[in-house]
Amino acid sequence: MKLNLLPQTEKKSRQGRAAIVVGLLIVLVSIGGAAMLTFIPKTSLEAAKASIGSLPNDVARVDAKAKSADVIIAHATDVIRNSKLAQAMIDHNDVYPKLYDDVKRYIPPYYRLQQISAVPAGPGVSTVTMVGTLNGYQKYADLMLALYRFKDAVTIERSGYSLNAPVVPSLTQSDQKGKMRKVDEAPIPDDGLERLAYFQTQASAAPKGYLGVGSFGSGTTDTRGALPNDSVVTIVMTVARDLRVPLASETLRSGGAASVGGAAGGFGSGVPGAPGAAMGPSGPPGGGRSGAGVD
Amino acid sequence: MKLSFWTIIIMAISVSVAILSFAWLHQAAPTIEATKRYTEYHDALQAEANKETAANRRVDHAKRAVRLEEARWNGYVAVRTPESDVSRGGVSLAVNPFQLTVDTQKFRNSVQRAVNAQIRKGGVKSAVGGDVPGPTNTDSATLLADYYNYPSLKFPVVIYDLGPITVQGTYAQIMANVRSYKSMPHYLAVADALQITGTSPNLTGTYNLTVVGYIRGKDIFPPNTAPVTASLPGAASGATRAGVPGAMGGAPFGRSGMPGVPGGGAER
Repeated sequence: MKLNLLPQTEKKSRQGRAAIVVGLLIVLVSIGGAAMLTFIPKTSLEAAKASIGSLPNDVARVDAKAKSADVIIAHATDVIRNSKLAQAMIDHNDVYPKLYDDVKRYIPPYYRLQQISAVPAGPGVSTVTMVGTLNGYQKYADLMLALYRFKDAVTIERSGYSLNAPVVPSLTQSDQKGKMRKVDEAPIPDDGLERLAYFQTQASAAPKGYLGVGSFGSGTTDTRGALPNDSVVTIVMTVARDLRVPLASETLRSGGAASVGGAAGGFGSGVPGAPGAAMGPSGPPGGGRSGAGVD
Repeated sequence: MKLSFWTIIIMAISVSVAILSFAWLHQAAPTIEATKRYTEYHDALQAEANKETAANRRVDHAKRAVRLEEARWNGYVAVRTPESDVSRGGVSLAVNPFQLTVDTQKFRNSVQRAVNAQIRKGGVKSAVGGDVPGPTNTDSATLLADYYNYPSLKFPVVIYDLGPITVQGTYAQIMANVRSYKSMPHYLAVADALQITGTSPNLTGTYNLTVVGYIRGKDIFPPNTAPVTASLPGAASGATRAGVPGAMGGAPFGRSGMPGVPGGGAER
């Protein structure tokens, strides 16, 4: 049996010395790590700074070159504007005739036109108004289908037809068969003699001879109106056409792109102005850093 | 008092953590962040610098576009502007203001003749309207501003809103009439708001007409607000044309057909 005759404090003393050595080692290692954490990123930062070098100058040069295109365009603004305006004015002279020619192809022969006009309703949209005469409710319907074949037609509204076609009436005392007649006419009697008298009365009341309505037969060049039993029908058609006229005075005074007008309060950009800048490098990006405490 | 083994170790670890924390938070992290931002900045700069080809292309495109427009405009100037000679139906603004009052009346009549001839184009049976306004006053001092819109515009130009024109004819004649404004000689004209009424072949077409005349020439006589001796024709040869502005240049005159830029005392 071995006896440990050393005092307990001797053992703790040895442990304390070992702990101090280990602790010092730990601290030294951490100091080394801290040094690495300080110097390695700094080296990287210096390298990043150095890599920028003359790039800002290059960017400034490219930027200046790109902006010189604007200067070139700006110097020619008047010429460009005048040229665009001239072209727009010349082109506009074809706009209305072309529209009317195109619409005319879809106007059926049974719709006798008295008037056609068009006004711009905004960019790329216009309203064509036609006034004409036609006969027959079926044609009133067919007219819409005919006009809707026009590919630029967006909406079409019709009005003006006075519907007075014969209808089957309800039975009355004198007419137990419901013979067809116009709404505003009296019932056609069943009795033969009464019916004869009815038609005689109707015939005597009917207009006789050449009526001369609607300036027909007048020998003038006046617009011919509706024939008897015809209706004056108005068609309002919204079409995808731009009828806005280049406004010379406004364009020249504006100093910008050609103004176009004609629509209600309408000014737009139907006519291009100076060619737009194609692209341009943006300015140098900000090089600011948000990191605190780093110079 | 003696410290135990683990107490000392823990104390050492604590000190180490403090040291490392200080190094990370105060030194490494901000530096890494700054490096990252510099790298991004570098990349962005590089991306912009790489756009040099695009910038060159943009400049070339601008030059080409300007050349194209100048050429186009020169074409208009050649055939769509009034002559610079009164005797040929145009007007010259290089004459003294008093002569200009006389010439302007003649010019107005020339314009009216041109409009009258134009609104009969297309074979229409009759045409009504298109009264070209003359100068509202004979004040030589304000004639240039009132009639030729100069210097309110950068170059002298006459703009006539002639209001409604009414023509009569067949549909084809009216269409040809309106289309003929595309080629009106010496002026730019635009017919707008065409409306057709009537029964074929006796149709009536109504439209609004605007006529624009860019005045050709390189010189404009200075305003006659200067001393009389300097404005008189006899003294003009010795007068300095201070601020002689450029009129609407074009193929026959301008280098590139660009409008004249208000000059700075070009002597004559």
